[in-house]
Amino acid sequence: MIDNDIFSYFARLIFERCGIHYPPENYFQLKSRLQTLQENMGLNSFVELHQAFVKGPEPQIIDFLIDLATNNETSFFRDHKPFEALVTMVNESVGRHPHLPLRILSAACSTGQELYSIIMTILEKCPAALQSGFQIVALDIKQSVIDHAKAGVYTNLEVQRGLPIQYLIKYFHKTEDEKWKIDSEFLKYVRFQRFNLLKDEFRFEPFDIVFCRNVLIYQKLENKVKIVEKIHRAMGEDGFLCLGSSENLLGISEHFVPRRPNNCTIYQKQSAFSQVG
Amino acid sequence: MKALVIDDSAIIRSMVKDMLSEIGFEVNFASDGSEALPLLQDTSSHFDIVLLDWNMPEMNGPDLLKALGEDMVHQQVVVMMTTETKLEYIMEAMRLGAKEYIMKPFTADILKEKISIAAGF
Repeated sequence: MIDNDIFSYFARLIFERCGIHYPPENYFQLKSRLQTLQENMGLNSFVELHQAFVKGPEPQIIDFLIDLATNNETSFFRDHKPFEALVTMVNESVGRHPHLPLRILSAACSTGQELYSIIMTILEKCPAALQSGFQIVALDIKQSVIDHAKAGVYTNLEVQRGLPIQYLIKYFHKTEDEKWKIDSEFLKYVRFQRFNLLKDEFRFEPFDIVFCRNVLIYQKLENKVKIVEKIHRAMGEDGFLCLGSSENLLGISEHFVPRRPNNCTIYQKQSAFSQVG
Repeated sequence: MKALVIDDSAIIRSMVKDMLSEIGFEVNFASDGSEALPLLQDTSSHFDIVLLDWNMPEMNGPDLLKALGEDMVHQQVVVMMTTETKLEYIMEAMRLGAKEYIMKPFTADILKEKISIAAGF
């Protein structure tokens, strides 16, 4: 069996499991990830790796493959601008229903940096939301990253990616093994759930603000449409959707209006009235 | 843009020079606080960023900040760059006027990010 047949086998497996599409021109990325998996499994070749999967691997090996395939690159306050725009989104949402808690969705929370950045932004810059209260639903397809996010423990390198030092001092404490742990009070704002955006159904909606960043970019068009439709249904009237800096809704959905607070493009769900109009 | 890197390690000075040159900085050096003090007191020269190690012979980083005095430190964008990672060290550096704090080892993207946060570039 030649390598391309093996890559095609794993590309199909990854697509079936989590919807991430590796076209042949991206097999070089897949190759480096399979290399890591092969080395971790103590195997000598892609042929052996393929045979191990055909025989039926342990579930945690499949989880590991999905971990590698989805590439958990993240940092605190990643891309900055969405967190400046978040202040506008929060203030407008609180203004619409000042006595109800704000509901925020982090659709792919990974190891927690995005959701803790959301909480720090609200604590620092959105006093109105502190009065109304807020809840974040944090989802990810992988249990391993949810466990990491829930633990809220980060290395020296991780807390240096994007996190201003004042926030490290204010919201983290040093652990005995020289890592940094987020203030345990933060957990009262968060509900974690393992979730497949393609297959599972939302609970705890409607959401006022949805962060779904760097998720669509890995998906095929039909899955992008499916995910955005599902998010749209789970959003409250005039809710806000924030995508990754290289993502947009062109050709995916016409049910949102783009807006640019703080020089950052976000999408606002069209109200029932304007859709009729 | 001009940077002053104050570190007794020639390896760190060289590594940071490469990282900063890549993003357009002209890089100046001092190998400890006593060598850096006259450079920072010279009002005819201006640095956009000062990267300062903690532990150095002769005059260490915090002693340099104390010798400069609060007013002069606040005119600079000082980023500590050190192996000291305890919370009390970080708080001491901030109290003395540092704007950011980098824990060694670090990567080029962390250095760029911290400079950007500290200096508002």
